[in-house]
Amino acid sequence: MITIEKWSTRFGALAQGFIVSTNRCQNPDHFSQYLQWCATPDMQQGRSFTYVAVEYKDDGTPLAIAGFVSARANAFVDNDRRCGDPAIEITELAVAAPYTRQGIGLALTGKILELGVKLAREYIGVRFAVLRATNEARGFYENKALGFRSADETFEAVPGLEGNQGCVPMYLRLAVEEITPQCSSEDEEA
Amino acid sequence: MAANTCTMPFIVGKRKPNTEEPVYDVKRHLVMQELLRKYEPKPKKDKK
Repeated sequence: MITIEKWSTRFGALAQGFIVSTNRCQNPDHFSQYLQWCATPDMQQGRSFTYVAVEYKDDGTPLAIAGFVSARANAFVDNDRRCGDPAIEITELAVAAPYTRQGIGLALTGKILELGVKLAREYIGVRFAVLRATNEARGFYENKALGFRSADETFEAVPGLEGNQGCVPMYLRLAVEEITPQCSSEDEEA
Repeated sequence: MAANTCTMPFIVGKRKPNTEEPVYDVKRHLVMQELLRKYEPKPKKDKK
């Protein structure tokens, strides 16, 4: 059984065994190192928040980390209008080699999109989901179920901007105004 | 499936004409909610 839950130091012993495929990633060691050394302090210091997909044995003890995703607050800035909108940014996403092609990356990304919707509905404004993908990962985020698009498809590049070099800036607007009235549940009744 | 870890704000330039904005709409939201149900932690049974 695999569940998605908040990162916790109780999963720390499993982080060393987190290995991504070298065919699908330019820097596979980064992700194991991130879990071992960065996930906890980043959460403690408010830099990012990590969710892990954990496989459990039948007796309920954690067996392995199948994947993880990290996110933080950012801004989607329209340089032409000098105007920004609040955004949730996916900063890390990885699936361990034995767990690829099982929909875990999709579910982890969806976890953050749903978190963005929930934040916007109940706590604080969020209008976009953004990320900077590697070229290899671009197709994954363009998956029909997610619908991210590269920013260069709809916006002209900002002259002299270096932050997006070496990666593909991608974005998606969260249609909170559509989702809220049609999918309201227990919160409206409270 | 790796996203880079740049720390820059997400800045875009002028909107290109006649382009469609990508949207996480109700349809995607409902499909994703269904998928995520598979990964919800199960409540632990009380040991008596």
